[in-house]
Amino acid sequence: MNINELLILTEDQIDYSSLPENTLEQLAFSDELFIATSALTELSMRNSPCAASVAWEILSHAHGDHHLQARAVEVLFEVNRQRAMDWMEQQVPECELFMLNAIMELIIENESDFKFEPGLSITHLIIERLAEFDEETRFPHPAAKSSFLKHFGYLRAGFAVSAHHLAA
Amino acid sequence: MEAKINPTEVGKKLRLQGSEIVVVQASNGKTITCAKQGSVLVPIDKVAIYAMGKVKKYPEEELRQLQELKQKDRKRFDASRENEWRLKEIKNLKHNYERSQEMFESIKKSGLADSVDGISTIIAHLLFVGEEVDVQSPVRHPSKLEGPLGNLKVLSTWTVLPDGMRYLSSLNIIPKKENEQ
Repeated sequence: MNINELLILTEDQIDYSSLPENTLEQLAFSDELFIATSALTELSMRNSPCAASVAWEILSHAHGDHHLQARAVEVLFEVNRQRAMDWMEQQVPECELFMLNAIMELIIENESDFKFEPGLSITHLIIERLAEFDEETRFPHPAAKSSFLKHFGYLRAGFAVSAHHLAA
Repeated sequence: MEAKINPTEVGKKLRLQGSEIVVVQASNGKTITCAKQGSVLVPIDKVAIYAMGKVKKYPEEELRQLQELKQKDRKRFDASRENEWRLKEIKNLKHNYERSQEMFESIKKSGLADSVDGISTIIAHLLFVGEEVDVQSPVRHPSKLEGPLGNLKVLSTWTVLPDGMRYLSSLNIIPKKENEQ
């Protein structure tokens, strides 16, 4: 089936495992975002070398919606940790709250990668940003926020001390 | 994945509005029920299921357990590739479920509901949009649907089938920003 034939289907009508990688790649960039997300996941499940480049293209061009981009950062982190961390470090100070939440969930799941540099500076940036929000915000989810602080809250004290030193 | 609303009822309503219900056969043998008006086809499930928050929920507890195993006992988690595959699979389900929920939230905010009327209103809007779009190759088309409580921002993509019909290939409901009226 060619790409146009696939795109008339709904997400659950496609057998992604039977599709060649170049077709999955095209689907991952399509406007049908349910299909795009599943095609990207299939590339990742195959450990395809193009999973990283597709994920990176999605992130660097802000393609699709924040759900597809959140899946893309997860996939990029699986296959090219350094590039994913560089992207996160750039995004965390100003990204929309949904993406901040997605990054926090990824960090919690991969805690050991963020206890030391280069990941540690990203957790510092998040701690700093979390101080801006009250309990009422929809994102970050209260559960993600509390879990993040449970894992990395000890950094808050360090952050306060560093800020104090800088001010002095 | 199942629509709470009886598709026959939606079909009845659309017929009253001058549309037909047709079944399109894809080349893999799958069938797609569509609303048809003139040369425009709108697959009903893209509205009645995907936009109405009816994508099946991911197994939340299994996701939590896998993530916990990965955090607390990485060695055991990595010992079976099945764990990583399943985690990827569930995350995919989660993102698609959440997108569907978010679309439905936007629909509710505009004052439309997951009802025969709500679904028919959105499909009728898309049938109208499809007529307006000038398509030679797949094209993205932004539009606004006026709901009882506010506008719904719709982004649709259209493709031309070999028989010349304009077919809705993607539907995205753009969420309102927190401070947007």
